[in-house]
Amino acid sequence: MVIETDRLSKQYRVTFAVRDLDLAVAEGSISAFLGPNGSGKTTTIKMLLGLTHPTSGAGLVFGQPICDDAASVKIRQRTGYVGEDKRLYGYLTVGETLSFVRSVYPAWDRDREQALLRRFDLPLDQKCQKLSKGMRTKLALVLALSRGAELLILDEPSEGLDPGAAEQLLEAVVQAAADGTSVFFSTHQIAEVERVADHVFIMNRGRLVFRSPMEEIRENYRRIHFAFPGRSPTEEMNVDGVFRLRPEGHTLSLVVTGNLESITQRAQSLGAISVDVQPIGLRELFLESVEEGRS
Amino acid sequence: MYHNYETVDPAFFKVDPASGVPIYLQLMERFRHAVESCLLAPGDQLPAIRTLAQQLVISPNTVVKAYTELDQEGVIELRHGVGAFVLDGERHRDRGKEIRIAKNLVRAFVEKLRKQGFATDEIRRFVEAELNLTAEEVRRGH
Amino acid sequence: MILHKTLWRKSWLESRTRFIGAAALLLLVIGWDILDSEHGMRQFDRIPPIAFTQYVAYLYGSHFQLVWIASVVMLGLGGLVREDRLGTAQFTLTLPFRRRQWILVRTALGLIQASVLALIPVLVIPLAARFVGHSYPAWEALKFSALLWAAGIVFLFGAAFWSSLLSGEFSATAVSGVSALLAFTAQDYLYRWIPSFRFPYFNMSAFLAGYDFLNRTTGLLEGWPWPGIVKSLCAAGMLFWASITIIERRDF
Repeated sequence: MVIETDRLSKQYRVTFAVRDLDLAVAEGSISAFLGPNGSGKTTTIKMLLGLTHPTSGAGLVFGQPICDDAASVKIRQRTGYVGEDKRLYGYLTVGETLSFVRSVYPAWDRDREQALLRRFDLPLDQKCQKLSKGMRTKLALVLALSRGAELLILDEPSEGLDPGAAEQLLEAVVQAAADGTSVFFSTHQIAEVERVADHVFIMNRGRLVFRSPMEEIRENYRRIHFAFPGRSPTEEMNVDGVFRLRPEGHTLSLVVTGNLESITQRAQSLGAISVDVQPIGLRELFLESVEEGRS
Repeated sequence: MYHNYETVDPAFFKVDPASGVPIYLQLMERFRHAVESCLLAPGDQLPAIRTLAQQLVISPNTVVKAYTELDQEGVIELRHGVGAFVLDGERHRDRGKEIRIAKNLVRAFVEKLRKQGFATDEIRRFVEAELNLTAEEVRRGH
Repeated sequence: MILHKTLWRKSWLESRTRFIGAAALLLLVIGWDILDSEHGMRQFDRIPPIAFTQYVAYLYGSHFQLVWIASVVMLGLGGLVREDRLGTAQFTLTLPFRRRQWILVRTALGLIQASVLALIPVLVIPLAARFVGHSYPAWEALKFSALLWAAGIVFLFGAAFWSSLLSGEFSATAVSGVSALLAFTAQDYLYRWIPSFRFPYFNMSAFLAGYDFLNRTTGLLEGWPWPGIVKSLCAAGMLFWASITIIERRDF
């Protein structure tokens, strides 16, 4: 595991920004981190990189403890980061920023840098404070992707990018993954996650509310609608493999993680008169995961 | 004539991440199809995992899984350090014929349902529901 | 560990405007005061008239001291907490350096810059003195400057300390300035207004100018207020340690 956390928490007085987070990101995988604003994604990422101190729990990146400043340096030497705030030193130009960061990472990949610069079409002589948000993001990406990092941690990397640039970002991410780099990125773009992610983690109100390999969602997760003659047997249907359950009068809408056969049989034994099975997309799962008052 | 990946339109291998079907399965299906319709001939080299992942903008791990499964099925051969190659097999030629027959069956079936007044979406839902339940049965059988 | 040129380069880039501004100001003030010394000395209106060396001692105890202190307060501003407000702290702190390294290098650079500023009078006074027909040994100026540096460097650390708590440019500057001002005047006022508390008499300005060791006739320094310097440096050390602790504990 390249990233592992054990009940990682960040408490501010009475509220928890992150609560009992158990994350496990496998090496060489592309993992996506989804969640509404304020769900704790950025706080988690900041804790992993040593920007913020956890109030309890622990975390390891590359096997190094995130709480220790000296160990955190070792983590950061091997990690490429694009933060939520893509701000860089305003008084440096694009070219100067590149040479500044280049001098810090011995494993810097000059060819990759040049290729990305061409692709993103960044003006080398422009001062960073004059760059638009999109340009700043692109520069931040070049800086993160060219440093020969083994892990990329990206906080909403496609924010502020037009669709063309967002596509280029995904291509660059895939390219990095093909080189063996592990990628951990947070985003609001479900479509991005569906395309490139191997794993998805969903956070809500500081807690991890859902985690699954993407392929499992496609292979095993299903939405089923059962119609019953009378009232839907909600409690009786809440069995193993049922992720979400919602009665709507005569019908019962379920999201299941597998066990399709036994669940269908059970419904039929309880009097279900019709069954409708559909695959469930990530967007729906996301909405189900972060909705309140679920059974 | 020498067929190889470069002569096949990359859009041929396009996958739909939003569909309920795992991407690796879609890829496998596209490759099988390419082989069976002779777009890829035995002995042809498949694109490198990296290249295909970049071109389709999907996770390289997905491509790895597809190639591994295809290798296990005997459609391709993974030669360590060299690449993936389409395997020779007479059954591929026969399979092409079977595919043509199957496609004709589907066309006839869809036309029939349309004549009965069903809309495209309704037909698709019937088929998907059937496929989902069938898939479950198959899995249970294993 | 702190030798990586990137740390120094960034610290320099961030502080160069302030440093150059301070150096220019100091140059201007010293140059002007010396070149205008004829006029300045006449203000003293004494019998016997004030000597040039006494005047320089006076200047060290007034203008030069104030400009230098204000300059080092400026040098002590900025830093990681300021960067947090500006939005670049995330970028800086995710580079593979410890927070401690950034602080140490910034501080070291600040000390070097303060030293250069303190040396400006040593170079300028003898030079400018010749223009007005006087001579002043650089060695004497060096003594005054060294005292100013050793006793007054605490103000650099004071500003750095406030900068570790306050991220606003205005607030950090204002508080640093006010606390420096208080350091200059508080003891004096306390002594005068609340004599019952028996505060020992202490005048910061006099301390920095070495008045206790000043030969009144020659205007030359003949000793050093070692106890005071040690206390000042200890205070500087404590402020430094506090700044590091605050920044290392901070959530960015």
